[in-house]
Amino acid sequence: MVKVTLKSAEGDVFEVDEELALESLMVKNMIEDVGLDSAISLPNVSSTILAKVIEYIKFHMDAQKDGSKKTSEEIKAFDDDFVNVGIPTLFEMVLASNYLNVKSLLSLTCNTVANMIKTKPPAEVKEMFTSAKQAKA
Amino acid sequence: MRRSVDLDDGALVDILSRIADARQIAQCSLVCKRWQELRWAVTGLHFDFRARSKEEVREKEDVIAAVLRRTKNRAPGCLKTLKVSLRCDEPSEATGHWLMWADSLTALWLEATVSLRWGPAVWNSVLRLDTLRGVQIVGRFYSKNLLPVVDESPFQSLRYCRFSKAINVTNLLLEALLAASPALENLSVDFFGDVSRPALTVSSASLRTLRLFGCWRDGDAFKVVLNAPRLASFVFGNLPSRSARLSIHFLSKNLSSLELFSSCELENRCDLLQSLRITGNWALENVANVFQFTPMVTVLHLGLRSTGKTRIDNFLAPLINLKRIHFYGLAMMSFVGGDMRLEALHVHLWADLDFRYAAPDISLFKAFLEVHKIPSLVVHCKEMADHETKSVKESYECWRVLFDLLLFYPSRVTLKKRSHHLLNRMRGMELKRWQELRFGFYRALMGQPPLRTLEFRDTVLTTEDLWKLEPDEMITQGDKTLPQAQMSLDLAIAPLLRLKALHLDCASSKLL
Repeated sequence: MVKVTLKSAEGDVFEVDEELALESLMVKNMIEDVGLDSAISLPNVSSTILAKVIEYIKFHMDAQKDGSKKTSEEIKAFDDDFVNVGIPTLFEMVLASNYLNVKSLLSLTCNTVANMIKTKPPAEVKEMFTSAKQAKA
Repeated sequence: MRRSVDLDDGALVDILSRIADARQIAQCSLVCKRWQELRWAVTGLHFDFRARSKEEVREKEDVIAAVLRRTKNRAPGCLKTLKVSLRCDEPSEATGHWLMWADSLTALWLEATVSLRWGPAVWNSVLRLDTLRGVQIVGRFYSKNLLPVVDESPFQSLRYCRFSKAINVTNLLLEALLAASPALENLSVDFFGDVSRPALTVSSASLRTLRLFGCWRDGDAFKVVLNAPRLASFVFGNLPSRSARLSIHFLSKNLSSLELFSSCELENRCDLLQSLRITGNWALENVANVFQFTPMVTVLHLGLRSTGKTRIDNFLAPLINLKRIHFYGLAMMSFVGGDMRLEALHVHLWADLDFRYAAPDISLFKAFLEVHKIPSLVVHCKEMADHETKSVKESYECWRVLFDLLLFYPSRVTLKKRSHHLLNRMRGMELKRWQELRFGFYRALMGQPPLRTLEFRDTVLTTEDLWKLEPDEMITQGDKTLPQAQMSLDLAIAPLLRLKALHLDCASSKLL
C-alpha cells in the first residue's frame, strides 16, 4: 500500500494510506501535481484537527467497505459523537474540511453549526462566535 | 498563547445556506454587520408561509419577491436552491411573479397546499429558468388549458423533474418536456389524470427512472409506450380503489426494474427485466400474464391482494431464473403447496398495502421452510415502530408468529429490524398478553447484536426486563416508563454496565 506523508501546521508528520489521503480533494490535486515523493505540508491544519480528520475518513472508509458490519445507526452514532466537541474545535474542523476539501466532513460539520444557530436567538449566536474567537489554544 | 478561531466568509455562507429558512436567516443577520452582508450570498433559501386569505397570499408573495430581488441585486448568481412552500385555507392562486428574480437557480421546489393553486404564469416562469438541474412542483395548476407546451429546448441541464398532485398536467406537456430536456434522468408524476389522449409515449435518450402514478377512473384505458433506451426503472400505478385498464408497450428493452402498483397488462416481452414488483388489487391470472412477458426476473416482490388461491409452483413456472421472493403482508396467503427452489424468501410483516398488521399463519412459514427447503427466511419487521395505531389483537398475532418462528428455526430465520424501534411506543398493548410474550422476545432480541439505544414512551417496564436488555443508552418519555415503586433509579440502572447515557424527560424525572 502506497503511503502519503502529511505535515501539519506544527510540523508533525502523519503517514496515511494513499487511498485515505485521496478522500481530500485538495491532497488529491497536490499528489497529481507534485507526486508522492515529498511530504505534503498543510500549514492551515493543526495536528489535533488533522488527526481527527484522518479518524473520520478512516471510519467512513471502513464502513463503506464490503463486509462491513456497521449499521447506519452506528455510523450516525459515530458522526454525532464526532461533532460533539467544543465550538472552537468544531469551527476548526469546518475550516480544515473546507481547506482540505473533504465534502462529507464539511457537510457534517456545517450542518452541525447550522443546527446550533437555528435554535438560538441572535444574542446567543453572537456569544457563541465571540467565545470561539477568544478560545485558548 | 491566545488563538482565535473564526470562520472565514466561505464557511459562514455555507453554514447560512444550510439554515436555508428565510426567516431564520433574517434573524441571523442581526448577529453582526458582517453577517448582514453575508446573508445575501447564500446558495439556498427556503420560504415557508401560511396564509388565511387571498390577500395574505399576495402579501407573502410580495415578501418573497422583495427578498429574492435584494438577493439578486446584492449577490447576483449566488442563489442556487429555492424552496417555496405556500399554504392557504381559502381557494386562491399563487402568481409566482417572484420567480423572475431567481434566475440563477439550479434547483427549484414549489409546494402549494390545501386550497392554493399555481397560477397560469408559474409554468411560464419556470420555463425561463434555463439553468435548472432539478425541479419539483407540488400542487395543482390553475387549469390545464393555461399550461403552454414547451416548444424550444429550454432545459439543457434538467436532470430531475417531479410533479405531484399534478391533476392538470397533460400528456402533451410531459411529452414536450421529455423532448425539451436532453439530460433528464428522473421523471416522477403523481395523481396524473389526463384522459384527453389514452396513450403516453415516453421518448427520451437520457431517462433512467420514471414514476407514473395516475388517478384514472374506472374503465379508463391508458397505455404507456416506453421508447427510452437507458430507462432502467419504471414504477406505474393507479389509485388502489380504481380499476382502469392500464397497459405498457416496450419499444426499448433495457428496463431492469418494473414496479406495478395496480393491475396492468404488458403488450410485449421485456427480456432484460431483473426485478419485478406486483402490488395492489390483482387477479392471479393477470399476474400470470405479466410473468409470460418477463421470463428472466430474478427478484420478485409480491404484495398483491387476491381472493383466489393457486399452486405456487405453477404460478412461478414462467420465471425460470427466479432466485428470491419478497412477500409483503398477507400476499403469501394466496398460495398453496407445490415445490419451489429458491435461494431466499423474504417476508415483510406489517407492510401490507394500507400498513395493517399482517402476519401470515405460522403453518405457511413452516411449509416454506420444511416442504420447500428454502435455506434462508428473512423476516423484515421494521414497520413495528407504528404500534399506536394498530389494534392489540393484530399486534399480538404478529408478535406470536415472529416469536414462534425464531423458536423453531433459530439458524434459518433472520430477523431484520431496527432494534431500538422494536420496543418503542407499546402504548395500548394489553399487558397480560405482553407479559406472556415478553420473555421470549427479550431472549430473541438478546441473540441479536446488543441494543445500542433503548427508547421507551409510556411503556411499563420492569427492572428485570431492563437488566436483560442491557442497553448502551436509554431514552424515556412519559411518567409510566421507569420501573417506579420497585426501587430507586440508581439501583435500577446500576447493573447496566454498558449504559453510557440516560435521557429522561420531565415526566419521568419527577418520579425520582
